[in-house]
Amino acid sequence: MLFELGWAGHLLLLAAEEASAVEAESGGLFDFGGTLVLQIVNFLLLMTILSAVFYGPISRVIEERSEYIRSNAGSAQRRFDEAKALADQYEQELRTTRLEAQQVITAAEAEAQKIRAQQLAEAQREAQERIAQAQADLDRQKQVALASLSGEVEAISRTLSEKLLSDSARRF
Amino acid sequence: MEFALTTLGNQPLIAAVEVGKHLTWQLGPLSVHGQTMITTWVVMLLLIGLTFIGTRKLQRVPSGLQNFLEYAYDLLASIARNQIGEKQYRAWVPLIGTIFLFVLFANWLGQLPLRLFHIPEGELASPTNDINTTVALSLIALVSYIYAGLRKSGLGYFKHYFESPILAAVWVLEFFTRPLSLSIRLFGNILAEELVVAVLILLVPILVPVPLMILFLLTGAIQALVFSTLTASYVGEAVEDHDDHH
Repeated sequence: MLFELGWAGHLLLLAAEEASAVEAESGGLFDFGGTLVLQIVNFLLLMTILSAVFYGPISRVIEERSEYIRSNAGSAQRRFDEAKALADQYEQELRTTRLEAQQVITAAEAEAQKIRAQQLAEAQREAQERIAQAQADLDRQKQVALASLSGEVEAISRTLSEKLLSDSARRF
Repeated sequence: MEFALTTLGNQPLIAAVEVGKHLTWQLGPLSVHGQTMITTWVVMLLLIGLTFIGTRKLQRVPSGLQNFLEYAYDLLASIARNQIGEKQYRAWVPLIGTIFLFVLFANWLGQLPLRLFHIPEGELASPTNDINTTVALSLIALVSYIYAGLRKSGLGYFKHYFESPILAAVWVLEFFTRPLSLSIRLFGNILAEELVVAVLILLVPILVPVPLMILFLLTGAIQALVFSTLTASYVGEAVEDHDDHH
């Protein structure tokens, strides 16, 4: 017997009874033996079984879950990047289209300006022409009128002079 | 050895504290302590049953027992990770985890009124109440961390023994003190707990021992944590990179 608890017995006013033969041969707190060997076997057995039914499956399922989350987060990031690229592309296209529209408007405006200037020049030229024509007509008619007038003047002046001559002759 | 509370005269036995009495089984050449074996197997069955049931239908979104088991696994893995390091802790989770679970369940089992189940000799108690169990565990820890060191750096693991004779003596001493302290700490704590409870029950069989038993649930868990953390720390020391160490 390596371990005595006699003091406890006295302290607690217990009556100690020494047990008999059995413990004399294989009793006591520090009785090493087959139990030690079997406990090692038991522990290794328990560790193996728990690895198979507990640590293995649980760590696998945790691993799979974090893998799933990682891959999902990755694909979400990828899709987000794609969407962003698409948005950028649309933005770019919109800018290009706006620029093109601006150019078209500018070109049309220039065209219109050109047509306007052209038509204006045309009209002016036509007016000029008509003015010149009218002027020419006027000149011709003036000539005609002048010619006919000079004839009449001649005739009138002859008549006048004849009359004058005849009057003066009668007086004298 | 047996202490019995007898009232004056020849009153019948009310309660008794028995220490160091074993139910001896003869298994071939081995003589084993039957009461320790029975409670060890109960602990093993409890652990295996619980984890077996809890890991039947593992789902990506855990619920119920799976949730609890994942939490437990996380706790065990964090003990190993904190002591051994992120890189190589995974291989050691089964050892550290099983030490923790076994010691915890063994300690808590001892708090149940096992005395109600009568066996021919001795009495049922926590398996960690038997020094054979704690020595077995500490020997496994010892072999594990030596194996870890050998696998990490081959025979170079023993190099530091030859650096100086005084240190060599300390290193050799460590071989004995580590398992000795591991096993005696656990054994002493649990045995003392059970004796205290037994003596209290002997004196005041009702209500008074209850707060103490609740306290012993806590200390049982702490003993499990201490044993597994120390083992993990020994393994961690054996596998760490010695370049970082010095």
